Amino acid sequence: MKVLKEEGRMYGYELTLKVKEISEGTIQITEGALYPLLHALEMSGELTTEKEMIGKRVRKYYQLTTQGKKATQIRINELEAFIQTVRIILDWEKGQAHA
Amino acid sequence: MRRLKDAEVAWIASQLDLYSISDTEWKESLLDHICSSIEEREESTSIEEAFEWAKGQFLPEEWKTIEIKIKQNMENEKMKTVLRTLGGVSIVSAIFLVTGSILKIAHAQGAAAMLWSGIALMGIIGGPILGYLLFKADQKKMDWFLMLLLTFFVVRFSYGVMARIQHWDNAAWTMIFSIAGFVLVYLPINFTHEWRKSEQKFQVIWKHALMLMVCVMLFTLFDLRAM
Repeated sequence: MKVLKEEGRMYGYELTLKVKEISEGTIQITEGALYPLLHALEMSGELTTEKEMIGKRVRKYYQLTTQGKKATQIRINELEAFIQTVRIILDWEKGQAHA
Repeated sequence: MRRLKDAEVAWIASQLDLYSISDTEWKESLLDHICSSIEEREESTSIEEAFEWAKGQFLPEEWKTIEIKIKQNMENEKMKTVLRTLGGVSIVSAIFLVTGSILKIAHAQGAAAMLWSGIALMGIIGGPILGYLLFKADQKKMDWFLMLLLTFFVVRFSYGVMARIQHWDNAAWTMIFSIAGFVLVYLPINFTHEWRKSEQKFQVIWKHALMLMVCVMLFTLFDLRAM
């Protein structure tokens, strides 16, 4: 969702490539994870879709709606707060606690 | 970068048919996904080889599962809308019924209109929605029969209550027959059915004894000599 927020309009395969590129190959989204999620977000009104014909095949572009942009920001904030908490726990040392 | 020809795209689409994918949207997305990945490759292999490579990348055994997941998502969203509608109808109907009852107690105008609006709203919109939810619940024939029987007695008793409020004739008899029908027909069938399928026999006895007691209490409210 963050990638879609930054890039605007993308199709499924493009999304997987972008995530792979940003994460330097660490994260590879499978179609099993991607398409059910995109579909669920579309159904909940967080994404809109546009279809384009590429020769004989149909390409579906996904774009965040206003509701989707707000939801993305909320999720990013939640994730950042979670990562920060985990960071605090990981950085914690017994000696610091006694001091 | 390779550019697939229309005939090659058609061939890949025909290969996807072998995986029994019925959802058009998912099939279109998958076709574009596979074609895009093949086009991304520099190599100019045959379409058959390229498709085999793509299959190796994308776990074809998951394709049908993904379709099922997508369909479940659609079904869940539909169910959410149905439940939201039912909730809205129930709230509006309850407001009508409570307002109608208050007006009736205060002998104010418009009580009947309010009460009937509440009942009509629940009956016309809420009833079919409840029916749809029951249908989706995948119940067995016996459960269906018991549900219908219970609905019949509840509706008839509710009509009796309504008739009583409106001072119509035979209100008391309608209620008595509903209670009698519930006790003599529904309770024994339901008891036998639950006794057979439930492992917690004590709960079945307790539940039915409680329902029987409530019915007896309701029955004692009627003065049969005055009727």
